[in-house]
Amino acid sequence: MATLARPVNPSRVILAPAAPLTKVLGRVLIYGVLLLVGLILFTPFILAFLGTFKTNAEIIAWPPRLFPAEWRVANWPELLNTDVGGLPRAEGATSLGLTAGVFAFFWTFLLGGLSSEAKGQGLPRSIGLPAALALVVGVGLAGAWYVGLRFGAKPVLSWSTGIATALFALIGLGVLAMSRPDWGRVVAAMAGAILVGALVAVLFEQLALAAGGGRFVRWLFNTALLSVVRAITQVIFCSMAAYAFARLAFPGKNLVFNFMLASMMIPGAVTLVPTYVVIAKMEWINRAHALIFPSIVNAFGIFMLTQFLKAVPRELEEAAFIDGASYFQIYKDVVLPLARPALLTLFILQFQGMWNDFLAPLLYTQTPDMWVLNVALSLFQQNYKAQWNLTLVGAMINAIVPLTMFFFFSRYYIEGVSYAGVKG
Amino acid sequence: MAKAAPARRGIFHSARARQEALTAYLFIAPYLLVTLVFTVGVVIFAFYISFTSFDLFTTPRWVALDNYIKALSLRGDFIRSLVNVLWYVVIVVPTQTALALALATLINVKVRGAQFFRTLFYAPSVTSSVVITMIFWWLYLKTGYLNYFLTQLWGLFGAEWTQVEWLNNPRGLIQLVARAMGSDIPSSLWYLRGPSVTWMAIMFQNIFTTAPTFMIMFLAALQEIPPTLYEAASIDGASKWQQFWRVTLPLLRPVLLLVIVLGTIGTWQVFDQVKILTAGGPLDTTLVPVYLIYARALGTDGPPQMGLAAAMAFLLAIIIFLFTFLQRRFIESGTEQY
Repeated sequence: MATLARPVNPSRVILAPAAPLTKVLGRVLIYGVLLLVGLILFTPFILAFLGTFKTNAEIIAWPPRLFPAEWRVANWPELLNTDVGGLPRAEGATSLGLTAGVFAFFWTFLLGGLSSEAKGQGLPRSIGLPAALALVVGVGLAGAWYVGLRFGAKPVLSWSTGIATALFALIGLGVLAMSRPDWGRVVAAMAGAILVGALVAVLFEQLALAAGGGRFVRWLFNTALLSVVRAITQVIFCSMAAYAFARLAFPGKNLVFNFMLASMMIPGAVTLVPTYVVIAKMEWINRAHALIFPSIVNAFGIFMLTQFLKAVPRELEEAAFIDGASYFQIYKDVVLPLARPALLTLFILQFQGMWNDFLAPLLYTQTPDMWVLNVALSLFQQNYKAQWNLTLVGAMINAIVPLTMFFFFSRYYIEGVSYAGVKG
Repeated sequence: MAKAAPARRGIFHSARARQEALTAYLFIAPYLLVTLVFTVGVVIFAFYISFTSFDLFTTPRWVALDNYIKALSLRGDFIRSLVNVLWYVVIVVPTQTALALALATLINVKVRGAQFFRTLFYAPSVTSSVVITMIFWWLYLKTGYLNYFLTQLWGLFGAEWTQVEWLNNPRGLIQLVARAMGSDIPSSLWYLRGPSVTWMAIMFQNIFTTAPTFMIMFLAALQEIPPTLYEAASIDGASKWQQFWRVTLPLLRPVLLLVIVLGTIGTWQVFDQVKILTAGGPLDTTLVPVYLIYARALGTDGPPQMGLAAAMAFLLAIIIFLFTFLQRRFIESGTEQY
């Protein structure tokens, strides 16, 4: 949809050979203007990039020079190894690992528990359902226990983490239960998913620990992990909700949908203070929880995907339904592949959203081991004793990722904008 | 299986409808959970604490309208921040909208390598505001490139440019005019001084970052306009300029509204640049509501005043709603002629 190609303007085709000189001059003029404006908009980046190779004395000297007197490439590795004195603390690393683990668990469970046929085989529901529910409670308890183990006496944090984890397990179980599953498979999938979740949690925890505390590498790790986790969770949960809004009938649908649209109008400033209070009360301050759990879905993402799905013909899904597929199977096997471009758009926008977020990480993180790049960068002037050359290296590293993404995926950025704004 | 169900559940026609509804509820459950806690719950909670004195650690104490009265007192910080941010909205929104439209029209030409230019144009928008702010901080230094550029420019005309400390200059725009004419505006009449030099430097940076974002919105809309319309117009003898005013602009009206409304909502809530560059200074000339809310909620000076911060947030929200409502009325009433 929204193809960028346009039928060739016939008048242009006819006129082109008739006036070649003005045409060429016009082209040159257009390129000249484009280049000039582009250069103006890009100049700060060029200056900053050249600045990363200067010494700190040179970079703030008057008059400023464009090129460094001597190219000091060592600034780049120097920044990566500078330590502002944060300790590699286990708690922060645990919370990073856990948030990744919870969603690894959720998705593995849903995919593993899905059976295409084999109804009524294996475990009867009267045994399978209680067993699965027991595992849900077990997941919550395991999460709470592990957090308690790592953080010492912090009961509220343990319980809020445990309950959040168990809730996701419960939602996953509900979704599977609605598709008349093979219960033996559900229980096995849950057990397997617990294992996967735990492995992911421990793996990322250890990676974070290896990346150290107050070092640039750790901030890069934090930012990348949080951005990927946020983008993936948004894609999963927004697409699930969008499928329900676009395809399924349920009482209260219009009410919820209109409420969602209205909630997009609430300025972020209003929810800032009380959200901080709630997060503080759950002891989520300085934990990855605070940056992930409140933003696993958002109204804009659901709205965008719903608009997209409404425009997609539903014949395929109806055919699948007649073949006896459950709603979740249709969602996973038919809808998700169809919606791939829109999902990629959402992924990119959300990844970039987290990567560039400043206010939330600033509010919810405190110690250097939990900072993301933006927070660290904004505090560089204190932490690096006004070392402008290192600050600029940090800024450049931070900018490279979104710039590269835009260069390769700019079509999806434009489509994201047009789904949400222009056609909505 | 379609027959048994109606007896059990009144609202659903069949077992299939019931199953469909239950599945749907499960699919939107994550959204409902998050929104119930972090939107509905939190707004109600904010409304409650805006009537209390609350420092996060003790129980909230009911103080009725005290917070609102305190926020709206004429000598208070909040009024000051509103005046500052009003200047910001009034200057930044029209400028960035016009610039975005100009950029979009420019980049919409069909030439080879448009993709490359698009990335170049969009660069300030995809990178985080913190990155841009840090770079501009450095460009704005007394020995920075902006002063250097202006020195060279003035030098071309044989004049001398005195280096300005862009981020530490509280003099207002109107005050500068008054000084040029030999008088001054006393600090008791601060609201007549106009936006300070520092504040205008931040405005410039914000326009620079936001215009490309909205450029993409205009670009998406421009690409939806069928080329036949332009052909028809050019056959009727309309010049390129007339085509822009008579064809392009009317068709862009919905996007224009969207860009203006989003721009307004965003500029009223400016935060990042102020937090990093000035912390509200110099002489409170860059103090903005969201920074004030942040500072009061966290208690950067004194104990946290959650109640006051929540009250200020609600007042700000009311202003934003009013503004967007008026804009909508204004622009939509203009649409009727088409």
